Amino acid sequence: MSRFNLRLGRAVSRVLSVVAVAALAAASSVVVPAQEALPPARTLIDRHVKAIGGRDAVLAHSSMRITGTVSFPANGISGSLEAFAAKPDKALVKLNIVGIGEAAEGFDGTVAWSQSPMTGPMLAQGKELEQKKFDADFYGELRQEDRYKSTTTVEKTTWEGRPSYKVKLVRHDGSEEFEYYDVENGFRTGREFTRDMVMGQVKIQQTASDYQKFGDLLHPATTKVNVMSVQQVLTIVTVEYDKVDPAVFELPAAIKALMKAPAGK
Amino acid sequence: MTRLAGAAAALALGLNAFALAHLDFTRGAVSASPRTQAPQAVETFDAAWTIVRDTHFDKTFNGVDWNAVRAELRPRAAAARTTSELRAVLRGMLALLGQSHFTILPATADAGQDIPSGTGEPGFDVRLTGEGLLVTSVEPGGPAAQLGVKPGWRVAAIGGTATGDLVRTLPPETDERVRRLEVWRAAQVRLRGLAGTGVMVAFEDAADKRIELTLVRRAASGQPVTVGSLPTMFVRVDARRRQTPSGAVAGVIAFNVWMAAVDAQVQQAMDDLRGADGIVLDLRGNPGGLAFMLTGISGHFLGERVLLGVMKTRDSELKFVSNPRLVNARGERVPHYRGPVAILVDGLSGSASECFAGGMQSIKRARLFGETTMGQALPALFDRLPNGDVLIHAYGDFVTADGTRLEGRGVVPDEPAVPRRRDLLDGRDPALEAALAWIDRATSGRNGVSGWRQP
Repeated sequence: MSRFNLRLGRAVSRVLSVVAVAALAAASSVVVPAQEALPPARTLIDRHVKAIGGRDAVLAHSSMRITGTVSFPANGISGSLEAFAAKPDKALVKLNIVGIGEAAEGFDGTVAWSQSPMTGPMLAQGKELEQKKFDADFYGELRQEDRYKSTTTVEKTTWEGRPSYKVKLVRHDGSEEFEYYDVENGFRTGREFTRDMVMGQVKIQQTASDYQKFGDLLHPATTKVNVMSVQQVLTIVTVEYDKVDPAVFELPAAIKALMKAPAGK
Repeated sequence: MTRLAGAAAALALGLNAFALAHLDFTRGAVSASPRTQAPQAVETFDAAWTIVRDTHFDKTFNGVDWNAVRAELRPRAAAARTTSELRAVLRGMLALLGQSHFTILPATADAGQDIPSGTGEPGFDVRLTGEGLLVTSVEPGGPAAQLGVKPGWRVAAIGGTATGDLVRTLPPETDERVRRLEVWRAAQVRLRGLAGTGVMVAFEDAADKRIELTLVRRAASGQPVTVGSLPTMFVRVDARRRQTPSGAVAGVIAFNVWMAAVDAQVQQAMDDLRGADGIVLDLRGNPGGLAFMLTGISGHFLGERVLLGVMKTRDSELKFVSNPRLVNARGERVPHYRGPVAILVDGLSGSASECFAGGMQSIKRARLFGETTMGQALPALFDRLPNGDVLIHAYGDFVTADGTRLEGRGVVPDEPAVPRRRDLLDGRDPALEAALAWIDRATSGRNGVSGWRQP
C-alpha cells in the first residue's frame, strides 16, 4: 500500500469511526462519576455488546462465515482469509498466503487441529487444546460471566491513542488476559493475551478498529495482530450468518488419519 | 475475532522465523514495490536504524553503541546524493554489527552496476576450493552439459573477469569460509542473467587445457515462489534411489531452499522411499528459507515431538519442535521413518539448513557429512524501507537442543568430506559416498530398516 493509500485508509477509518460513534452515542453511554471511579468490567462488556448490536442479536445467530484479507504490511506478504464458526463451539479458519499456500486450523467441538504447508497436519494437545475450545465458543463475544473467575476494570488508560478502560479477565484455569474498551464509544478495541502453542507460550496483542455493520451486527473491519515483532492486518470484507454447512467443520482426512492408532497397535 | 487472531498468530510464528542467508539475493533487485520513491535518505536511514534498535535480539547490539552509530552515520545518509550512496551508508551501518542476516536488498540496480539482472542460469554450479574455482555439478541437458562442461573443470574467468580477480577483491584477512562464500556469490552474479543471453566462461579441463565457451543462459529451473518483498526463488526437489556399497538401498533427497512448496514434494519422496535402508538429505548449497519448516521436515524422521532448537528473541523464545509426520500424501496413517538419516552439508548450507542439520545432529537423529556450514543462522525478518529497498534484519538467535549456538560457528559435520578436483573429474562425490558407507555400517549391511537402532 502506498503512503498515500495508507493515509487515505486512516482517513476512511477515522470517518467510519466518527460515523459509528455518532450512531451509537444515543444508544450507549457509561456514567463515570466525577471522581473518575472505574466502571465495573461487566458494565463495559455489556456496553460493548450493546454497541455491536445487542445481546439478543448476537444470540439470534447460530453460525457465521467471514471472508477477508490478511497481510503482513512490513514485508509485503498478503493473502485471503475465510473463517467459519457455529454454535456451540465449532470453528474453522483458513488463511491462504501468496507464496506459502493454505494454512488452516479448526475445532470440531472435540478435536483441535491445524494444517500448514510448513508443518504438516497437527493435533493440539493439553493446554493448547483447552484454549482452542475456549476460543471456539460461538458466543464468546459476550464474555459470559460463568466462563471467568473474575472480570475487573483495572485502570483508565490510553489504547491506540484513545482514552480506554483496561479490563482484566481471569479464567477458571487461572490464566489472565487484558482487554481495552473505548471510553467514548464503548467498543472493545484491544486485547493482550497469551496462547500455548507447540512452539511455546506466545504473547499476542490485538487491536480492533473500523467497526462496521455487517448484517445486524458490527464487527471490527480491521484487526491488527502483533506477535513477536511481526504485525499482521486482518480485514473483514463480508460476513454471512446462519448459512454455514456443518460439514465444513468435519475433520480433514489427514487429521482423521492422525487420530488413528498406529498400524500394529 | 479471537479465533481469527489465534489462527493468524500461529501462522505469523511460522513466518517469523525466516532464516535465509543472502545467497539467493544475488539474483538482483527485489520485487517491484509501489512504494519505491525518490531516495528519502534520512527517512530511510531512520527507519532502518530504528527497526534494528527495536528488534535486535541482543540489547547490547553485539557490543556496538547503536546511538553513537546513528550520530555518526545519519549526517552521511543525509548527504547521500544517490540511492547507491545511501545504500553504502546503510550497509556500512549494518556491517558494524558483525553478524549475518543484516543487509539491504535494493529495489533498483545500484548506479554503475554492470551486472545484468535476471534469473537465467548456465546450468552448472561451482565452489571455491584449494584447487581453484571448480565446477561441482552440471545439470543434465543444461547449457553447460550440452557444450561438454564436466564436474572438476576449473573456472578461469567469467564474462572477462578472471577468477583470481574475484578472490583478490577480498581483504587478505578474510575468513576462509567467508572467502569461499563471497567468491561463490561473485561468480553467481556473473553467471546469472536474462534467459537467452550468453555468458563467456573460460574453463580448464581435466588436462588443464583452456576452453572458452559462450553459454546461453536458460530460464531458471524449478517452481517459482515469491514471498512478500523477497526476490522470486525457484524451488527444486530431487529424490532418487542410490545403492550403498553393500547393495542396500538409500533414498537421496535434495532440495535447494526451505520454501513451503518443498513440503509436499518431500512428503511424496518420503512416501516413495519409506522402505529404504537409509535416507540421505542433501542440503549442500541450500541457503535456508522458512526456518519453521524444519519442524515439519524433521517430523518425517521422529515419531514424537522433539525439541530441535530454540530461537531466542529480545524478550521471548520460540521452540522448534518436530511435528511427527504420521500421514502420507494420500491421507493414510503411516509410521515415521525409523532408519538411519544422513545429512550432507557444505559451506553454502546456510540458515534454516543449519538450524535443521544442527538440530538433528544435536538430538543424534542424523549424522552429518561434508563441510562446515556457513555459520549464518540467525532468524530474520524483512521490512520494506521508505525508499522501497528491503531491510533484512536478524531478530533472533538460534541454539540447538544441546545448547550449541550456530551463528559464526556453523554446523560441523561428523565426517568431514571435501571434494577434490580429482574426485569430481572421476565423477565421485566423497560426502555422499561417506554417507552411503555409513548407512551400510549403521544397518550392519543388511537390507531393511530393522537392522538399524536409533541412538
